[in-house]
Amino acid sequence: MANRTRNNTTKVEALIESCRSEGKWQRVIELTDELKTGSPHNECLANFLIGEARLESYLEEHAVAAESTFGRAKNGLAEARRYLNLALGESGQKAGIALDAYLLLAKLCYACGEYEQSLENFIKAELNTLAEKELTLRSLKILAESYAIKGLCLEQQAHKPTSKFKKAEKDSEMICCFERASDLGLLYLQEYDIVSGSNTSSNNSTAGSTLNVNAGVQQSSSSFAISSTIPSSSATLEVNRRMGAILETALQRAPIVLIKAGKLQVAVERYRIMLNAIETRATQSLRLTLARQLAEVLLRGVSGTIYTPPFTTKSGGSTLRGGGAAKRLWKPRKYTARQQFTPRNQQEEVILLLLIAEALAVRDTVLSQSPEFKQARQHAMGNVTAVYDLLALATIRWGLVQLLNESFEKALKFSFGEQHIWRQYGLSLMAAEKHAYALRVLQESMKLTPGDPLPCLLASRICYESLETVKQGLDYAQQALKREVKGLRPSRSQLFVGIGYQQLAIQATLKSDRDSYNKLALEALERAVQHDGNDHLAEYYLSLQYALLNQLGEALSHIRFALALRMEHAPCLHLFALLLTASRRPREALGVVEDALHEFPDNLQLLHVKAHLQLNLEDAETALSTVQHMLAVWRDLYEAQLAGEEEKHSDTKSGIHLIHSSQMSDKDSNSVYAASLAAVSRVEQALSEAASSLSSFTQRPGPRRPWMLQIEIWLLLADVYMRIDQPNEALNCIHEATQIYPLSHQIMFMRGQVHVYLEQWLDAKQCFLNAVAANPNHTEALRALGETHLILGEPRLAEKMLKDAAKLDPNCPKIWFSLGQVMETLGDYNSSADCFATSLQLEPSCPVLPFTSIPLVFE
Amino acid sequence: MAELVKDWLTDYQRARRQPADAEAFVVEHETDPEIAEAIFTIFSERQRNEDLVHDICQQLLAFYRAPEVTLHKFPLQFLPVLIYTYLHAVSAGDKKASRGVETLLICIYNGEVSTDDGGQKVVAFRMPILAQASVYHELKNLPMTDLRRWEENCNREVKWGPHLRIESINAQNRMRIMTALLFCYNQQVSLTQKSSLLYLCRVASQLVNQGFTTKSGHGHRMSYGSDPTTGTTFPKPSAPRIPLSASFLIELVHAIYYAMFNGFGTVAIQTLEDIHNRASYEMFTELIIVTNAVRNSLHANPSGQPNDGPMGLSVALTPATTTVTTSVSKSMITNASFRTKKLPDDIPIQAQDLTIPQAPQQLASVTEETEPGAKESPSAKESSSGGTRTSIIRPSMEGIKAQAHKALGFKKSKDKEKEKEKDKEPPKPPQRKFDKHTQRNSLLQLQSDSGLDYDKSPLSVSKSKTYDAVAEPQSTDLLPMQTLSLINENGSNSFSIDSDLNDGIATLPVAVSLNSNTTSITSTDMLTKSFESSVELTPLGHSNSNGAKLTEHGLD
Repeated sequence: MANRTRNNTTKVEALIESCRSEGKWQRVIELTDELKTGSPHNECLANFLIGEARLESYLEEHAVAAESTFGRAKNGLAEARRYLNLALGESGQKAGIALDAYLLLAKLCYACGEYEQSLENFIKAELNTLAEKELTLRSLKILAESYAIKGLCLEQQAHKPTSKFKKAEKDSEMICCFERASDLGLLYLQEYDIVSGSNTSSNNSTAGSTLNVNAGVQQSSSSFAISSTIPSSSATLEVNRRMGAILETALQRAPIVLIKAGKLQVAVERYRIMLNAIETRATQSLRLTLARQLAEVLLRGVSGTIYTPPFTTKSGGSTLRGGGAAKRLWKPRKYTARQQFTPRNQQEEVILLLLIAEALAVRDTVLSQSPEFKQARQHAMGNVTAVYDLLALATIRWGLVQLLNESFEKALKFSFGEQHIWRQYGLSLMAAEKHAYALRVLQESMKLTPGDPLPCLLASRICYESLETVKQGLDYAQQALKREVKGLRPSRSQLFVGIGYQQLAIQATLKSDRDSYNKLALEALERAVQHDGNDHLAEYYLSLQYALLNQLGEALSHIRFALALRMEHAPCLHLFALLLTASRRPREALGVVEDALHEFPDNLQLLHVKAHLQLNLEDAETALSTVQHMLAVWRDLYEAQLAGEEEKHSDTKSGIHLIHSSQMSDKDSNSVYAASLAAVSRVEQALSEAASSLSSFTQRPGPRRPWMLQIEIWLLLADVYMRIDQPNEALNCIHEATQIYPLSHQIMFMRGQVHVYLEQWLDAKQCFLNAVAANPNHTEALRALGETHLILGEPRLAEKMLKDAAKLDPNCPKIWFSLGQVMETLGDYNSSADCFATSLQLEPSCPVLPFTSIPLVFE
Repeated sequence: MAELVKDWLTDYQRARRQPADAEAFVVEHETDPEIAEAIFTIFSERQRNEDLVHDICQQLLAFYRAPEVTLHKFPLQFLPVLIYTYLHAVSAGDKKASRGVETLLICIYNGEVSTDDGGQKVVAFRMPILAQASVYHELKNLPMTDLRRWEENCNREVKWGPHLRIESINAQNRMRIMTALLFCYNQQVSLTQKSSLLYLCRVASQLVNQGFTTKSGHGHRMSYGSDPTTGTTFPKPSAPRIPLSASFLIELVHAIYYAMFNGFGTVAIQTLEDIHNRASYEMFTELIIVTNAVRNSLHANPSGQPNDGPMGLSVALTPATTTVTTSVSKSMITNASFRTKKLPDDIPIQAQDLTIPQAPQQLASVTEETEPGAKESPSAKESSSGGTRTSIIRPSMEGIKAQAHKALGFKKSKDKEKEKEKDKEPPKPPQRKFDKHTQRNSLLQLQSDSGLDYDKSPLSVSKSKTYDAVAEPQSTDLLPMQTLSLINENGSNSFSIDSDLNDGIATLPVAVSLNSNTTSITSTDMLTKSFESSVELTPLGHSNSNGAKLTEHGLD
């Protein structure tokens, strides 16, 4: 390489050199004139400098290597070519600039599309035989670009080598060029940063590119930006000036060429080497691209078994680089820090890369919404969404929704009106079970995609399932139905409308409301079934609707349809069993439940039904073992989960589900009386808050649901013990339940039942009164209270309670029977007869457990 | 095809009897790509070849148990097909016919979830965090918020497994087992023959689409309202839908994603669409996130199309600067320009920076203020201009609050100042001009008072609003202390106290000239104070001066 600071260290030359490295070509031309006049024997050097300056300033203004520009480039560069050719002569050799001249000439040829000539120039410059040594900044750039151009020329060379061997040879030469170009390019940019960092007197020639802070006292009067991190757009100007399209292309091209040649591992290694080089101002966006691309390669082309972790072997990487300690001079500096995180496997590397890429991409996003920034905004947005998409792909699989959540939350700042981001955010919130937030975000998503029913449906589901705001959910479902124009999923929207009406009917306390909702629900569900005849869920809900309307025949036929469509569906089997009990076929029902438990051994609801059936069939001993089994299942399912929960609470503020989501979903479908009794659970919640303020009571850790389940099991066990005449055991069970949560109305009710069993009527009455106070809609407690009143000789109060109960649940024969008894005591025999008749009529179609005890299901 | 497979079956039977032949068989098998092809074909026509399917399953099982690695890995490439065959049979209620496949799947599952020495296999990785320097990044060049992110997960392990070995498959564990199997398939997918990816895509489409064709399903609906006792015979839908779980489909998407970028772009994209439709139908949120992500990355995105290059990679150059002129780019607000951009003095930001037509509204509020004697007029003006800004820049509330916190100290004195002014001089016609510069004036106060009255906190609501508005274009999600440290970290380009003071001096004359004499005295007073406070409090009071500095940017 030419050594330009050889002996002539005049002021002008030093100035020229600094201008060259900073790319101030106009100034170089001016200075060259001075040089020429100063010392005429520098003619050759002057020619070279002018040629260089013209070439570079032309290329700065015009994009390189687009087919259409070749002609224009030839004209525009004719003069530069002349000057460079002048510098080639013997005097040029002597002055030591011939090499540089050849290299620049090659660049010129490349810009004109003359690839062959360009390659010839490289041969003349003997590019392959250069020895590594320290270089000036400008020379470093020329050399890096030269390798890049050579690589690009080889790639675009018109004639293809004939023999396989030749082709392989050419490929390897090309790869070698790109690799060197990328190493030298990075080194150049690093050196540039050092020089410009120390050189504080670098003038602010163009507005917006100034770096110096202490420039002047009167800064406030000027209007430039002082930036600590580089603002993206003014940075791009600088980047392009420092790096240039040729280098940038080569840097990105190197690994791609390797992949094309089938050397995936080497390509990955190349990416790693480039990313391992210390970053510079100019490489910010390049690093973003590289990090994203490496993550893409790892996600798209490398499966777990062929992955090799980075930097495990020192010699790893390209075989083409060859040995030699001297070579180190031309390698970029690497990150060195103590206790560096080095990925050990694919997941670690991918997620690390994406986290870095995200940080880089987010920084450059544009917040200005005015139209002139549209292009810049979209470009930055594209970059950042690409990272988010990859992040979603890489993390969801491992249940790391929380991570994704945080990313999207940060993204909202610059994602005004970006429907993709909003939707992903809403979905991720939903997946992370932050339901109320998710609903808010989905509302925004609905606005952004007015034609898409999906966000509405999701919102509707959140309302039904988690927020227990059925009315609102129904609104969303209807909105979704309105949006169904393409008809992709009309049945789902229709079904959700039906579910909403059904839930409203269940919750309604006024008969007229209930009737109208039931009618609407039936209509909607019928339509849902017509829309999609293969949907077991629609059939299931239709069947449930008929069951709630006490039309058991219809209900049975539809549940059979549902089961034909999906044989193994626990809620369907559950409903089927209940329907059988309502048709006086309890033994068959037991058979169904037992078969179902074969397929779903850990399903607590089915076990619950089974225990009740066994109780009803006067088989309390087996029921006892069933309930004991339930307790064992509960422990298997939830103990680990709750323990994990506790751990999470102790060491982090936000937990992530480390358990694979499929395991989770099994459990979450278990809830004996789940969302269907919305009012009830809200009361319970209020009470539990009240209870937690009691000093004697400590809230159990973890989510409430599993604990509520355990209460259910204890109470069932208490029931069983009473049947086998062991009231003390029953009291123990109730005590256990009370330990978990003292204020449940169900516990109070059950305690009352024990008192009834022991014929302690006043105590029983108090318990039932408590239960009713806690939950005025608990019909069983109302009925029991009525009966107790009757026994205590208070028939008027009994009548009141039983009538309330009958209003809430007109299909329960026991209530009508008790009411009949009360009327009889009061001497109102006509009413009494009516009540008994109703009871008789209802009795055959009464299921062992209410149909509403099946939790809502969406799968 | 059948012939080929039969030969293959008998060959292996023979080879097993004679160990000498076994090796030859293994070698031959490894080099023969046709046999896998043939097996795939048999599976896709399994109705016609039920016996053969059974035999194949047995042989694959024997392979899986074989000591030779190539034989051992061979059955894994059929996992998707086997899973489909099995799930299809189960959903059609034909479990007996799928016994062979089921056994094979159980064996592979038990094999894959165990380590070689019989323990339970766990695939685990450490959760990387940015707060720890890595081979790919250093801490100093990333913003603090990113570094702190996910910090609590330092060295947290994310795991797959351990999975219990199973004896039988039932409805409860079925999808979990299939998911685990597919996970294992994904781990090995780059070792399988490329052609098997095509079958993967086809099978995946069948899995999610079966039972969703629009024409079927209405035939047996004729029996509506019929008596349930007579309606005992149910014409089954020819192909019922196959129940699938979200996590299973997520694994499937990963497999499809691999296929997409390894030669089967078109088919795989179609399959992805199928999976996405199914995901939307079932409302599997996590799955929709993934399918959305992949679909979005396929159009108009730098990630590239499958056919853009190897693995969809292409050179993505920074956009040419010609599209964004320098003057425009300067006024563009990026995420990075928060807290760092010094906006020009004396030019109303709304006019120069943001061309959204908010100007009329602002003018209206200005005319309102010209009513003499209105005590709150300056704050009203400021808050209203703040309002317009809020609508344009959309700052995060947290940032504002943080700034407001910091601002607590000087509100009161500012109020007093205003009142004093009001008392001393009757409202003057050039109120408008005055108002325009009260902001600047207040800044000087900020600089001085923040050092002195920092403890005094009471402030009027309207005033705090004012400050919010002023503070908002700066860092949004940083706490005050973070802002400070960041600015320090950024090294040479950070604002020094010197420049703060310089600015103060530079702006002072403007303020003085526009205010009455009395205020000008206080201003100079304050200037000296500001010198004192800044100089004295250099280590401690840095945040104050920075805070004031930040405000100034917002103002101008």
